[in-house]
Amino acid sequence: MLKQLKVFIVIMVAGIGFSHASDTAKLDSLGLDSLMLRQKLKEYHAPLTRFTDGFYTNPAMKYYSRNSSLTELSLGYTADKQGRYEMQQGKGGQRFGFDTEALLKHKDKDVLWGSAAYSNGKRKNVLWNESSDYAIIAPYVMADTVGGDLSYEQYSFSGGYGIQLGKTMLGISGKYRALLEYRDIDPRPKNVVSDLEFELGAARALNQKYHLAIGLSARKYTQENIIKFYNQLGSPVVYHMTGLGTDNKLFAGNRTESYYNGGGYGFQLQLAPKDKIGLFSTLEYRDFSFDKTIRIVLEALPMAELKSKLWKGELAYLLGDQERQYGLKIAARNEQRSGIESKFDNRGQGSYVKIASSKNYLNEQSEFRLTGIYNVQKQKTMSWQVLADIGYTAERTEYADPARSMDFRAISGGINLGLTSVLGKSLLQAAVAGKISKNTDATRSWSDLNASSAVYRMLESNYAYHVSDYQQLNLSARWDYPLKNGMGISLKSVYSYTAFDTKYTGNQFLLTGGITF
Amino acid sequence: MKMTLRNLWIPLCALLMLNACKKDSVLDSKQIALNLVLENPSGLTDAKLSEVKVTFKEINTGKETLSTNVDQQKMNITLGEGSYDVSLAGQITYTEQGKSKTKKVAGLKQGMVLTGAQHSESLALFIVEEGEGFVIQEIFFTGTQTPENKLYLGDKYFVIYNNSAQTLYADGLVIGQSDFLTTQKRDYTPNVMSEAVAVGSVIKVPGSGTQYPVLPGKSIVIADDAINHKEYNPVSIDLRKADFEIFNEDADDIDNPQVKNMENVYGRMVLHNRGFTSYVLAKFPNGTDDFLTHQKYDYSYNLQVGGVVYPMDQEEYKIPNSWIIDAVNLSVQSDFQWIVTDPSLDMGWTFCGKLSADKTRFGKSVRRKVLSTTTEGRVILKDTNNSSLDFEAEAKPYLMQ
Repeated sequence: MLKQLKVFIVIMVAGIGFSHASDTAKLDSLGLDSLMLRQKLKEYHAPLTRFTDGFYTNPAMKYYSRNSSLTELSLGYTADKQGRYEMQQGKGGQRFGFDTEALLKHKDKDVLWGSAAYSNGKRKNVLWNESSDYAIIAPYVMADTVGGDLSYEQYSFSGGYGIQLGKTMLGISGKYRALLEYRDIDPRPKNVVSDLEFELGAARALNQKYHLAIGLSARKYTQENIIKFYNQLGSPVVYHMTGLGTDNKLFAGNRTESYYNGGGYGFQLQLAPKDKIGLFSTLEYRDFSFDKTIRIVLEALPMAELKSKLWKGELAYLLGDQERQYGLKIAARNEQRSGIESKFDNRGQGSYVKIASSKNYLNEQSEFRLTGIYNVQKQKTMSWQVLADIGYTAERTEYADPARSMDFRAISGGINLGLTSVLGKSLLQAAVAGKISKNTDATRSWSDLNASSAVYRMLESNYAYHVSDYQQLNLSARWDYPLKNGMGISLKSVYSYTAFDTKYTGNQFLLTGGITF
Repeated sequence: MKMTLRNLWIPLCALLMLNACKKDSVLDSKQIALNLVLENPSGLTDAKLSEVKVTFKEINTGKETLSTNVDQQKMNITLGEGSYDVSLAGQITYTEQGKSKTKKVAGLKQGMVLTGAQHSESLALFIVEEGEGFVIQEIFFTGTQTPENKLYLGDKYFVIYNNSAQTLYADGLVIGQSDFLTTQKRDYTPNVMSEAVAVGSVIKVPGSGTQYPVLPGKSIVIADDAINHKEYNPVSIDLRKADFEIFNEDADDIDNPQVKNMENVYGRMVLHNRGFTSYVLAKFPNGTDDFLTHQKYDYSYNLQVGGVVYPMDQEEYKIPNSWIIDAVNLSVQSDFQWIVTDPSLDMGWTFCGKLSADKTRFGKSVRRKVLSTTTEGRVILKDTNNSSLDFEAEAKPYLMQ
């Protein structure tokens, strides 16, 4: 059933693209196809577009996010290896996959968009975590001291539709992600993730320039996390982690089935101009929570509940004209995650009885960032842009009993220089970017732990990663070449090099090739 | 237009900033005031406690809280919510026939659930009778692992040690394996644990009473199969020099005719290779027939499966606590639920492996620790009736060295 659904969605996304291609083909007789495609590619991949994309995430505002229709299909390979990393996330990996994105815009009428992606990859050296989606379910993962590489396959689909009704725009969008993560040697986790989200949006023109939009979203998340061991002689201890290296001692052992069942809602409010010049603002709130239960024979025990509250706000002002734009953006983000854990008694009548629950875990992440952009975009000659940003990030994590904490703050800034040039029929885009991050303050406390313990070493290693200063260099290049009938081919490569504060380095490489129309 | 925007965004931005600054950092840690009443062993005159240490171990967090604050047989302490195992160690001074005596005292309560605002609980204390006779020195119950990573189980053994200064006779010594598992707590009715240990199998050293002397500081080995196991598994043990072996005629068992067989008193002694059962060392004061006639234990319990309760009846035997010379509880951390002896016999437990079916347990045993060595060179083993303290867990088997 799931497979048929995936096939249907891929066909649907391709359908959006091909219906758009037939529109484009009509232009061939005018001899403008190459020019049109280049123009659209410039728009879709311009740093200026990315600068303002965050203000058009509401499905009712999607219509204004692009001026033209475009479909892109790409195949790609990514590899990365990090010297400093969070053990639960792994030290990098490799991924092979394809992505398809299409947007079809009918002027003054509606917009239809969709995407489909498939990834097949491996996360390397994942330790203290046998579950998937660590960023979502942390710290309530299952773990052991063995760990290793994790293979995965991920499918994701999204789509939406926005329609203009006089001064009002209505939109609906949905996205779905399915992840299967596994290992073929002991310990053998098999994790199945399903993540579905829908959003409804409505926008109203306040005047000739600005639209005010509101969006409401709902989310459903599940993860089934089961570890198996094929070794006849036994297995290592499986831990149910509860934050900053703690675990529930009562269930440490061979309870190897965990289930995560979550859901949430959100709202967003935007004010943005139709022509992408002027004042932009967005405010977003997302509420998400999940329960973790473990299964022991026929009993399902509610181990923990995690509640997440995310606020995000951005305010920007862009000035300029068709050829030259400049502006500033200020962004703030705050997420608070709190974990309520259960305590059980097993000294009763043979089964586990929940006797208490308390909020033991707290994690808060905040970020403030100021970004400036100067963009010169000319139709025929070379275009260039400069982006610069400076920001402050802070994160603190606390655990109640035993009392442990970790707290760190950093300032970071970067500059990105981009160049877009037309050479013959080709469109070339290149960028070089540098980023520096400097830790300003950090403390941690897990004094109850023995310094020789594996948990202590894990916490220290993660702490060293979080508080590392680093310098990062990013190089990227993209080549687009128009073919006949409004179609084109593309090639893109990105290389990133990170030097941490000590001898550790990180490398990331991406290569994709695709077609556009 | 400008006013509209200002009116809209100023409060929204203020809300965001307020939320960002708000510290939702109140971590719950509900505290309960516990009033623990210490009940002295009955029958003591002018009893007074001293050097009392009480350990509260919360079984979810593993956190241990130690307190010595005893006043008027009471301890008042504030603890977080949870399920606690409470253990006490101390000394008690009392008067007996006009003379003052001081002995070690202990107490154990498992599964004390603390919720609400306050809680009162009593803890019954008992005098620790430290062993000076035979003790269980070692139990090798895990078996070994072959080079082909297969289980090898026939090489298990017990070592019984004379911890006294006198020659003792092993004749008539019995080893009982608990019928109850330390990993499965049930409400057995009638509950006889304060008087006896329910056993599922019992073996006995043969002899007339003086056939098998054991010198002070010496031991006897009781093997599962007293053969050279190295012939079948090179990492196993040569048990041909064992003093006794366990043999079951009605089973596919190996009998070494050179080694005396243990008498099978009741059931079939098969050592649980994950260590979920406990063992007692005893002597029947009136012989085997008396035991089999008078110590039947018929009990019932409710088996719960998926919320459905099935009433169960079982017929086994029990060994009275007063006949028991030594006891050792075994379990694993991941599945431990209770000890299956009265705490006065053994208030702790020891282990090989951290979880059920732990592959690291093979080739390991539990061995009693050495307390001291006399000037004559006799080793005295530690026996405080607390296997958690008296035994070295996951030790290298003595006969493998």
